[in-house]
Amino acid sequence: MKSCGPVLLIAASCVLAAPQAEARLGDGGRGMQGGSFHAPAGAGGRHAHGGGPRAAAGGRVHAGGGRAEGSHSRGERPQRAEGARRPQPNPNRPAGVQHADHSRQRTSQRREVQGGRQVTVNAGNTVVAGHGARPVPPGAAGGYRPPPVAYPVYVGGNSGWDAGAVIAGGLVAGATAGLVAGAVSNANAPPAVIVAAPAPSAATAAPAAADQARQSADAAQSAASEAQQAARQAQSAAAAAAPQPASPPPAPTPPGARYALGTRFAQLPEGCQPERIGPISFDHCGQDWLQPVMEGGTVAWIAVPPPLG
Amino acid sequence: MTAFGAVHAWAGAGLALVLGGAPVLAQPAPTPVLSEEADQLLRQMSAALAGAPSLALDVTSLREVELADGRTASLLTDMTIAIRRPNRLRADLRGDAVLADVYYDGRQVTVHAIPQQAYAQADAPPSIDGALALLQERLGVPLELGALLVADPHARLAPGTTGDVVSTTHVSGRLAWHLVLQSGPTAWELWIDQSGLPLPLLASVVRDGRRLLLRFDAWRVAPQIAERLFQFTPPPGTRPIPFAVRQAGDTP
Repeated sequence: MKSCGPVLLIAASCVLAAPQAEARLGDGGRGMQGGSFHAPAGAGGRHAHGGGPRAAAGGRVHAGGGRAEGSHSRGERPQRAEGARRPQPNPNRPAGVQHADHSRQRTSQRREVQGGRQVTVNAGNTVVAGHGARPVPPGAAGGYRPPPVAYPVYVGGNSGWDAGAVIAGGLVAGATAGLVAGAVSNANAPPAVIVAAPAPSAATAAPAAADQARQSADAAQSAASEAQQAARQAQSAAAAAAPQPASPPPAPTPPGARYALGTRFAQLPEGCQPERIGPISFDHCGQDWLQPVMEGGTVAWIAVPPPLG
Repeated sequence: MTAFGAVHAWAGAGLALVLGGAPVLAQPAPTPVLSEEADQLLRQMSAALAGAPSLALDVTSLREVELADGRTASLLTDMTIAIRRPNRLRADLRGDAVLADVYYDGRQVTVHAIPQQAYAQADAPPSIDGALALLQERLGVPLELGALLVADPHARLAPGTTGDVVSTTHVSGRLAWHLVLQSGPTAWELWIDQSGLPLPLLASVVRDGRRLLLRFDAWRVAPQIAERLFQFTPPPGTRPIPFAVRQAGDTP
């Protein structure tokens, strides 16, 4: 997917006074045209539609040239020109409020080099409330920001996810039991329930692997049921025995593995290799197997038992 | 003390009691309501949003979160969202914690995590309202402003809400009404544009002691949006992964 250059593509059309607004969607702005801050019909007269630098009723126009982002500074409001007509109140608006001051609408412009030529880029008729149509921040390939590094440790990001089994497509029989135990024992590292297995790819989902996956899923489900029942009994016993929650037993760790089952990672540890077994994607890290899951718009990894037993 | 002096003293004591808020003299607190003015503005905003066959907007969100060490930090996210009623949605999220594209084509929702080169898909209801509910409530995708994109935002925002219009102010040079509102434990404020269509310019939501700030940088009403923007085609090397779901009752 390609990043979108937010305002670069509309420079020419804005100069020609075509009231177009570009999209910042990851399509280079080619997939959307038209529209404005206001209703399309009859709204053209209020805004500066480009056509070169001009001020709206005394408002300042950014001359660009050094303002790489074409953004307005906060508090930088245009001043009313001398003798400018003050708008009349509209009786249809709620009482006790001021009338709109259209002179405050601004034009955002900047100078950029495109194709070796200096061009003036206007925000066109996209009247901005903030700092204008911003370019995608520079970063990794495609113009995206670099991947998050430290923030995924925030509490809100990994709380509230359903505690329980992790494998729904279910390649591993022991995974569910281990994760259920882990979920009960360690509320700080809840694994996730996967409710929608990825669509199998015809190119990669071998029939044998699918059969094995189904068998493993059945085994995982029965193991999950047993584990859940055991967990409920353990919870009941713990609740009856002590007013304070008992210290949780450690989650099981497969032989030779570093991570306990159900351990959640916001980032993939180093030294892992992607591996696909049947329709399920894994990351294989030495003796550890991690399964990526989509969690709130980003990817988390859950330690699972070895998928082949 | 003369008789006049005694009366005067009693009157003074009574005034002091009133100013001091003596229980016997205090007026009952007025029941909080949503003022007619605020309700009218919410209706106007709702009509402007719902009446557009398509919408595109650029939003910057600043969300307070608790770090693992107990400190509070603000996560910044730039969002570009496009919808085409009744059943198309696209959102590009570029933020500190989320870097993903979201697609809804009327049948499925897809979340494409760009840096991890992975995507997840799930069947979705046949309306934007249903898809938003699925994305926000079950899948935890931080589309913070979903209530503004549904078919009837007023019906989502106004019931159970109290508050009024407190003032007018300028949001980056645009004159705006400032609404201060309360919905249950959630305190929220809205700044609605006065200069054109009554669309929100700024929103602040405080829930559980943490603030979410949404700055609406640009609205585009009724743009032409190509169908392919709502269709997801996995880029080469991108792998499918499953969704995790949120617990019921947990708000993203």
